[in-house]
Amino acid sequence: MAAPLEFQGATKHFGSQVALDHLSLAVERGEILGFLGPNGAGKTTAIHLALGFLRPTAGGGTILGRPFGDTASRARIGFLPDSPTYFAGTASGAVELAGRLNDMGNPQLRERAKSLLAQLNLSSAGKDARRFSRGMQQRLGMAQALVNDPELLILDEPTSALDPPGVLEVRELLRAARDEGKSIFFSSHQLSEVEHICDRIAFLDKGRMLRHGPLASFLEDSGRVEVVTQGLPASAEVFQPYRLYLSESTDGFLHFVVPVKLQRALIEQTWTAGGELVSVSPLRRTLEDLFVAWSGEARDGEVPDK
Amino acid sequence: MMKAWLIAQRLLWQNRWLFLMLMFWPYVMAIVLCVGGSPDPDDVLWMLHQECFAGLALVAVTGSTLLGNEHRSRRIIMVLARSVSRPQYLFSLLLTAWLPLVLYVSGFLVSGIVLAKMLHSSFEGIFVMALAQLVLGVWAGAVSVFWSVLLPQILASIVSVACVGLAVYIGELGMIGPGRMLLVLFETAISGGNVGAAIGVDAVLTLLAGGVWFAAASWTFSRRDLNLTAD
Ligand SMILES: Nc1ncnc2c1ncn2[C@@H]1O[C@H](COP(=O)(O)OP(=O)(O)OP(=O)(O)O)[C@@H](O)[C@H]1O
Ligand SMILES: [Mg+2]
Repeated sequence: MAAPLEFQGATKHFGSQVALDHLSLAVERGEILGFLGPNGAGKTTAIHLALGFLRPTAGGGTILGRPFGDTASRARIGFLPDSPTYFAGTASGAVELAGRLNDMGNPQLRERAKSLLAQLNLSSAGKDARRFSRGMQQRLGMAQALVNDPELLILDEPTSALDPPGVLEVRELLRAARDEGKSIFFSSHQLSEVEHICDRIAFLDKGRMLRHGPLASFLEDSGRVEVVTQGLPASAEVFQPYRLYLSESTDGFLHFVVPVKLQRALIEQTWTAGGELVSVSPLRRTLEDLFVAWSGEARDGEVPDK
Repeated sequence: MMKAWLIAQRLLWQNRWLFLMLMFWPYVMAIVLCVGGSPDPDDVLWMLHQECFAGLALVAVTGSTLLGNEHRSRRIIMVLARSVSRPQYLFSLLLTAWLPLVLYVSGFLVSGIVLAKMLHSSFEGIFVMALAQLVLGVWAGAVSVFWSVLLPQILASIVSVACVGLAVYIGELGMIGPGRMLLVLFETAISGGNVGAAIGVDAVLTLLAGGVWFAAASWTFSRRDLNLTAD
């Protein structure tokens, strides 16, 4: 079966500006794909191409097996824009409108709207959705996106305005959706959020996709560990071979960052020499480190081959 | 169709105060005419013709501004992200521009009949003008929706009203369809005694012309980017 969402060389120019440059990327069934990149990288542009708001300058793609912009297939997707806006009316009115425009009918629709609003903590929200706070509007947009029990969710910065409990609630909703076999494509600047729930990430800069792959493969061990000792001075005989790895020395604590293959020798020799071992921790890279490094690469013009 | 109506409901509600005011406008005009005794027949006829043009201008201006407003507020993406096609969306705009005309024409009809009674005149002409307005409203709405797809709001309004005016001119040259239909609006007597025999044909042609403009608008809009960075 075809991927629920697939970009095939999707390209978008605005006048002379290249907002998206030959993006090829597929979101598989049952996965959460995080779409990352600095401001102006082209994330929203890619999403708007998929939904048919924009027409590609070249290339294109498919959404639930149909070309971008297909009306009928949109009944089976859920979309949350980066800044949702509403008609005058209540939260449940807004969710029901989204459902009815996606071919749903009552009584299921009313039930579904009610339970979603309860899950998203909007049951007691005021009368007019236009006057909701930004975070409440984002919660409401999430309810609209989920109302038709979509096979594919496309979310543009879904947690950018949420409070910490809101972030957790959305995280749970997305995990539950994935566990039901739904596919989720979302752009975000909240890297810790991405680290928590994404199976794969794609990194975009200046319209070009620089990296994509399983999140774990990027975050795997850096191959180094930090060893902290106490009780021996940095000048001790035993530490001479490790002088180059000493990263910090404070109040009698020595911090060594050594390759994994040296950790055993260092620890044993510290003990033998009468020193204490305070901690040993493998160094993991964070998405933040990677984000900064990748953005830097692009700035320096060393764009790797895709 | 159902979806277009759902969207139109929201858009109409958004502008409800304006539309209610317009509904009462013909009554206000009638009262003004009656101040100081029984109205003059020429004044009444002149006012009815003015109201006919105002009704069409209302449709043209509403029709040409809705799309721009929905872009600017970004509400358009909340609608088009669902299973709604571009033609369905434009149809909802056409409904939103045309339905207030029904309210307006009802006021036109009631106040017109009351005035005719005061003049002891028969009032078939008022029915003809009311129906002609409703038919022409479809056409004017489609024309203005078409221009709103292509042009920025203000230009779209000017061009739409200009199109209506141009059709009056063409009507005078003896052409059929919307052109001659518009002349009906501006030349029909209160009694309706001077209505031409071909008015039925002209009405059908006017609706067809509206259909062509709407089809052109849908075709064009389906091939264009939404402009969410407007202004
Ligand atoms: N309608 C438009 N007209 C002209 N330029 C546009 C338009 N929409 C987007 N752009 C440009 O395209 C580029 C990509 O914008 P886009 O909104 O896709 O970025 P983004 O990755 O979503 O950024 P952010 O993280 O800030 O949301 C930007 O340089 C932007 O200025
Ligand atoms: Mg964006």
